[in-house]
Amino acid sequence: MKNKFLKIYLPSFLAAAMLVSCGGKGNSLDAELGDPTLLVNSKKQAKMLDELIQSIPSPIEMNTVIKSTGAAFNANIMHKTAAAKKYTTNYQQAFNVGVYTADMGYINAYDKTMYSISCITAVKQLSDAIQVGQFFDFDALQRLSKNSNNVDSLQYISINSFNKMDAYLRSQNRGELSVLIVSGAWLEGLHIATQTMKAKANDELREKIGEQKIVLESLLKVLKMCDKIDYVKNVLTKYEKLNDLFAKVKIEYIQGEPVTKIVDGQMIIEDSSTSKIIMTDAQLGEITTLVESVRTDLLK
Amino acid sequence: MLNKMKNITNYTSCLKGIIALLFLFVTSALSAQCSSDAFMDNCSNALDDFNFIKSFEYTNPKGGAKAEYSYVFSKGSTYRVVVCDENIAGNKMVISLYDRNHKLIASNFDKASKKVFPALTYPCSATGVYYIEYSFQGDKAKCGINILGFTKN
Repeated sequence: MKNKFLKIYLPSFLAAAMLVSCGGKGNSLDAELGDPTLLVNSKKQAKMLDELIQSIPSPIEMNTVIKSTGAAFNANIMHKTAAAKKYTTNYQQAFNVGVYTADMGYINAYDKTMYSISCITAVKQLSDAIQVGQFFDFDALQRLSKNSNNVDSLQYISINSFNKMDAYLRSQNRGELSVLIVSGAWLEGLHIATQTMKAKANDELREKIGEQKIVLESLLKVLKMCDKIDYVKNVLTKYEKLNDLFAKVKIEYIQGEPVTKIVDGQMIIEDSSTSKIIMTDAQLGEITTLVESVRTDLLK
Repeated sequence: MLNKMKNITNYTSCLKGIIALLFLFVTSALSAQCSSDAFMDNCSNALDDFNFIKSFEYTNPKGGAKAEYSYVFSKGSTYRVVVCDENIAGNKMVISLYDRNHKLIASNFDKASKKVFPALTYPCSATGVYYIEYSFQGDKAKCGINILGFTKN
């Protein structure tokens, strides 16, 4: 027992302790970011940041709706993977990890695995630069991307890796990078949605675009928590302009009563509540144009 | 006599230290059980055809304490919340789903049958922020996870 303790538990414990202390000040990432405690300066704020980031939907849901419209896959609306090397600051790199992850979701939704490898490479390059590359099993992703039958596994591993990376950054008081990743993924997801809507109008996709009003409200809150950083402030200013347009979009609710049923051993809830997004063509047009413009400003 | 007393005190302190260390490792091992990829993979099987979105881990709950997370649910999608715990009788993980106004929609604990269901499926008909509150029935559980998945209607 004593030997087992010394051989297995003690080295693991020491290695874990060293890992934590090795992640402190002194590396180039920390030098660039400065003291993280100045950004999110209380446990309460950090908890709030955690909760808000967790509440932001994954681009995978948007991509599922995009695919269901029957619109053709358009590789030209994705961000050029060759641009990945142009991002030199950790803030730009984090934002674009989000952008390329959203593109990856679009590729996966359409089973266009031939585009996966260059996108995975871009995510790897940027996530290595912000020291979170260890959460992506790139070998497995590349292997899976060679066969379109592996799309489900590819999707699961991509999302799980993304979530682990996001959780790690927040646990290391690097929530601002998490905020930027989520912000980049959101903008790219909305860009793909609005461009698809231009190519093939669809009521469900329109609804999905309109409901980004709710998501944007959460995003603005987390961006404001880190707005002492110039790059974040710049993103925030642009997203606030988008929010001015989304403010005109209305969501109407009719409250219903939920009923719980057991069907084939599964607990299923039936809810008669409904919501309706009210967004004019002109409002949708303005949002589409501004998303394009914000994206052009932020991406290289 | 004094030396003997000192020896006993030292022995007791040492024993306390060892017990504390053992407790630390046992609790870490239990917590690690829920965060391991194997536990997660096994749990995600209950998603069936639902697409994995996120997982939320709850470790070392303090005496019936409740935790909560929120997520934007979209009209036209069906969500499934899968609950995985250490399967200790009387110490199951219970979740409750609330709407944007914090009005209770449902819980995986069926009061009539007193059964805790391992998953809760919710076809969303109103877009908004939903809250998922979770806690353990007893105080023996050390960890559990929720996995959130969706499918388009």
